[in-house]
Amino acid sequence: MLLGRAAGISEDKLAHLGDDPLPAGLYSDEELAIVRYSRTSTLMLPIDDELYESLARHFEEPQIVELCFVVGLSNQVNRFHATFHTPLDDTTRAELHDSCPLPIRNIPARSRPDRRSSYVTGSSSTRGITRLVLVWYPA
Amino acid sequence: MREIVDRFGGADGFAGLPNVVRAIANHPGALAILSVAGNALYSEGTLTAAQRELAYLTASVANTCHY
Repeated sequence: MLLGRAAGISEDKLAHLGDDPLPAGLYSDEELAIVRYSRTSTLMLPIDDELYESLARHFEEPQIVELCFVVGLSNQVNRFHATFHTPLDDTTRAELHDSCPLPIRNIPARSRPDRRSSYVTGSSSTRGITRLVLVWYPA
Repeated sequence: MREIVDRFGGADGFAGLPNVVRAIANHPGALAILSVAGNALYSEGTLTAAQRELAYLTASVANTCHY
């Protein structure tokens, strides 16, 4: 999997993905359409005709379907992370490097720290996800 | 399941598997769904990697999520 920087997105573009309004002149029209659609869809706001047309000017319908599903996949993984407090691993952290547009979040101790510690250690627990290993994967 | 490890683990194989994939693997059926979706969008998709990641990361930023 390629994360942002490895996929060829500049540090500047990554750093401003959360800006509202988005900075003028940084993103191409095609990129602006992607960013605006992805944000609007994630926030469950209406995809109005103007926004859809901005996508349609640059992408065929199958590609817009792909964009819709990529946003959905991201939201699915985000929800998983929010539920189980999956810690960032070294591989992902190295990929993100300093291009991550979000500060690394410290999970409050009151928010079920047992889930997080069991992830890190891989130890068994009776609560939530207990292992970070593929228990069914043949050796 | 080797293909899932190869897809998500990259050159490092099992050692390179992101934690989120390892955690989802606690439910093999859920991981299989993730694998199918990943294959359709990442291996067989027609968007460029940059276009795809721009969409993925914008959604993550909107959710204040690192993944």
